[in-house]
Amino acid sequence: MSDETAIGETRSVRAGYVGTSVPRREDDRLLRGQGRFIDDICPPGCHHVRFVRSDIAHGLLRSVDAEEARALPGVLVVLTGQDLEATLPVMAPSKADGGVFEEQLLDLLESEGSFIRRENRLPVVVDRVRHVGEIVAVVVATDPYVAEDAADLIVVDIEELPSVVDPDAALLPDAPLLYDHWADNRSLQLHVTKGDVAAAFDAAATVVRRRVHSERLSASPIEGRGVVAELDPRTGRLTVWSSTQIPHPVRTVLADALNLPINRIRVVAPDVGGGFGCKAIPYPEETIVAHLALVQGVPVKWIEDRSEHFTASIHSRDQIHDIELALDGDGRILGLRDRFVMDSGAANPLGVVQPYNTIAHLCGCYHVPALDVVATAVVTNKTPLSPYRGAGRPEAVFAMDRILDAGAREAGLDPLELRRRNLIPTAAMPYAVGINYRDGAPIVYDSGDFPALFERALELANADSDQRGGALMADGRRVGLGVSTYVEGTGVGPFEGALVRIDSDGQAFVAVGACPQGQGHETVFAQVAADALGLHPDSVHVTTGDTDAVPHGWGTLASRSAVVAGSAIVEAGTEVRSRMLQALADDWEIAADDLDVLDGQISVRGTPSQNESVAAVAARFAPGGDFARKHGTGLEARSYWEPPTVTFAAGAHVARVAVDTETGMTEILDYVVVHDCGPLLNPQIVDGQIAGGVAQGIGAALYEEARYDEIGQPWNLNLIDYLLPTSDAMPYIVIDHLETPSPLNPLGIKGVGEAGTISPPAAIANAVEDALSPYGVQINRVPVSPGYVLGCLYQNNDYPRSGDAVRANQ
Amino acid sequence: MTTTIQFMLNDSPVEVEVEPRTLLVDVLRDGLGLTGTHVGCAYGVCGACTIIVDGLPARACLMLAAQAEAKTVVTVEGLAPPGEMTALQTAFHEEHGLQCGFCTPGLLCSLAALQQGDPAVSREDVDDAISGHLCRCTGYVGIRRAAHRALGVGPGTGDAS
Repeated sequence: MSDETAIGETRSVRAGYVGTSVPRREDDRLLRGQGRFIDDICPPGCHHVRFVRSDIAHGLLRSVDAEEARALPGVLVVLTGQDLEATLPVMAPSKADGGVFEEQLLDLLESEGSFIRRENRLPVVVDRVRHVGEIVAVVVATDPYVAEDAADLIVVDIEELPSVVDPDAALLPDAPLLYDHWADNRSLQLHVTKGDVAAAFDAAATVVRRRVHSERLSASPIEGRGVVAELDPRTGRLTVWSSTQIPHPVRTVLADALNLPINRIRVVAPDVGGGFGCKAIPYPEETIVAHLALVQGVPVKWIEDRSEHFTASIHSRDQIHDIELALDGDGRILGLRDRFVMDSGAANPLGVVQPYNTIAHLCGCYHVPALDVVATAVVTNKTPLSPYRGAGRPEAVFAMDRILDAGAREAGLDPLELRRRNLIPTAAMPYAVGINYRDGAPIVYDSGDFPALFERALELANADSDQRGGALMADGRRVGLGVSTYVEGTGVGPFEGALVRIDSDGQAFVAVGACPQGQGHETVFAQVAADALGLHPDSVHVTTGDTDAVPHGWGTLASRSAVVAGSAIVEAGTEVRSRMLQALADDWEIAADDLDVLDGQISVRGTPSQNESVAAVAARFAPGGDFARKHGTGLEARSYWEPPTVTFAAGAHVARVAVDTETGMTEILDYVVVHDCGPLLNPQIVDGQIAGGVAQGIGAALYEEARYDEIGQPWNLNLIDYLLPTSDAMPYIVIDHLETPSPLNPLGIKGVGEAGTISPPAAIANAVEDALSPYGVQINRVPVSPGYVLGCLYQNNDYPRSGDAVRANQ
Repeated sequence: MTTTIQFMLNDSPVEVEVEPRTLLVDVLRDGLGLTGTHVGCAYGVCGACTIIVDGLPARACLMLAAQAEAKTVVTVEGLAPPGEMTALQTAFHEEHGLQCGFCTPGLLCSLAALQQGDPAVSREDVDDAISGHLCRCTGYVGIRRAAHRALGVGPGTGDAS
């Protein structure tokens, strides 16, 4: 939909609870310890699963000896890949996100030599392991302690093969192959161009080139993944609770894998303790646990432990860019060339999503007349890569904002001034970038004001002060200022589902396919539904994450839920309200347009004495009476709202840092975010999303890296070695908003879930380089750890990457 | 081989049979059904499983159940009487100190123990207590604001480092 009528509705919708910080209804249960997370679910008779995982990065599985484990009291069954090969089918790469768009996108790019190779993988390894953490055996026992004991008794014999760890080495002609039938280790190549890049570089007054690396990250929600499955012998239905962001796609995978009709499977995402993308693909554990519940006839449960999370849940980022910028004599961008390699680990479960997001967002807020990007994904013996909050955009922004700073230095311009000269002017909106989004639609920035965002951020950061450029502080540290801007395509399709009904007591029930991991969907969607229906939010119950509640759904990922599920609620809710008001207007012999409804009370405009409660009207819609016979039974509607394409949010971040050149430590002194996601549905929740995103961005900028040694052994298998930001690492954050409405949905909104995460690596790296400008140091990777800074200062940017034999001091 | 232990749990005496190796957090969650105490890492780093033992914050994942013998244990479920909330819980709600809520019970217990143990607690003490917990959702902004307000150590800005 999203036609004129619907957009007209926006105004009345926005007059009520939308736009206010309605307190979160989720909090009450969570603050009392009454939340219901995956590990809180344990049906009577539940058995517990422990997976035995490969501790070798690359090798041939010779044998799995489980004899002793099987004999342990309390062990129900131990299964190997061979035991399961006949019953469990291979898992195809996911179509949970952009996979649906992949074929059309590749068709568009085919002429440029683009391709993708995707491998179906067995849930449990039969012959060859390709990363540490792959499942080689499954133990089911009466008790989790016993399951772990049994797992320890299983002897796995793996004949080690040479590992591929460094993505550059993976591309060498003599590199060992991960998949023997492939010609090389490339899993994907995408080539996107616009304009005449060669001519742009020929004409340039300044050309700069950098090689920059966004390190590999782990999403690390504080709750890991988990699955519980139970077969109800009475109904023959299987219920699978999963700590997932995508219950409906998981249901589809399970139906295929278990050869069950969809009507026999219910997937429920209970309270989910953070997701950030790592719970947004179907995983083998879901299939295995569901299979076990079916064939063993007992409820079965698996809870991921923290070290499993670091090897068995997806990683993200890990892109190395060779990026070149051509500027004219005035510092205006003529062209941009980028060749980047994404180390996708042992598989590439979401195909084009992450690398194409990088391509699509590379130009960002800047006018780039000519562009030539080649993305190459390579397979290595590491945990597979899939989108984590930001999903290819932080890598793009890091490369772009680093090369802009480099270009400014080379051209003798202030990096702020260089940006001013290249920001897309306000008058140019809506702005067509000249390449396509991954849904196949041409990229058009539908709304926004990039110069206003940028200047506001500089103003709030007091960027004009002399606290930048390596100025010395009283304690001897150097101060630097860095900026970064970004756009973010949000609210991606293909659709989201919502059912809205008003029961005969006048209370509303709303079910959506989108499911939260802490974002406050129950609160915000109640606001949206309340305004659409004319009820108080307290009269609206919202159900999420249950495939029985709404037949079709997609999930919460990619900054999409408010936009897509919110619009579905508006559309369905508007239909319900219209039916209700039209019926009453017919009875009263007036025009429906003369009726208002607010907080459950319907009144005639200008004649407030003529009124009726929603409850009284809703009761008459109950089946069996004259009213219902005349006006139709029940007050309910559904919507599967399809966005025309993504809508573009944007933002500007400014970081001011202090760098200690003796210890290499970076402290963030000030951090400013100015963001434009259109009208704020719930300002408190929006600010919370941004602050949390910035914290993850700061983690990526300064602390987090999932590293491997030269044989593919992970270094960081716990939260001691993998550094998540603690509260003392978080600076004061100033958040401000610009609210330019999107024309692409009835709420006029753009997504905000990932926004905060996108710019911190770029802004902070720029600030550190600025602080160290007296030394002429280049910051070419994140995290900017103390070891890296000292390496830059003393070893001239020579810092080992994953796969290098010598471990660097962290 | 099991052993019987007795302790006070949220103002009520409890008696449970446990194996010597059973962790306290598993007894609380699986044996006694108090699932508000969460396990995030199981080795004491994340702080999600923090409870109050004899007035001090303790990681329930690092305690054997047998160590609770004769102790007084308070979990998130016991912080406020049924139907009520402490000022700290209310502040977390009003200041958006939680998103997914998984780390929240541990933070509430750490801060409640701090508050009960030292009426003249400083802002530094509060920040120090928070820094012992990992939260992946909030960026700690709302947590600091809520804790500062509830423990009376600041104007509630929370962001100031």
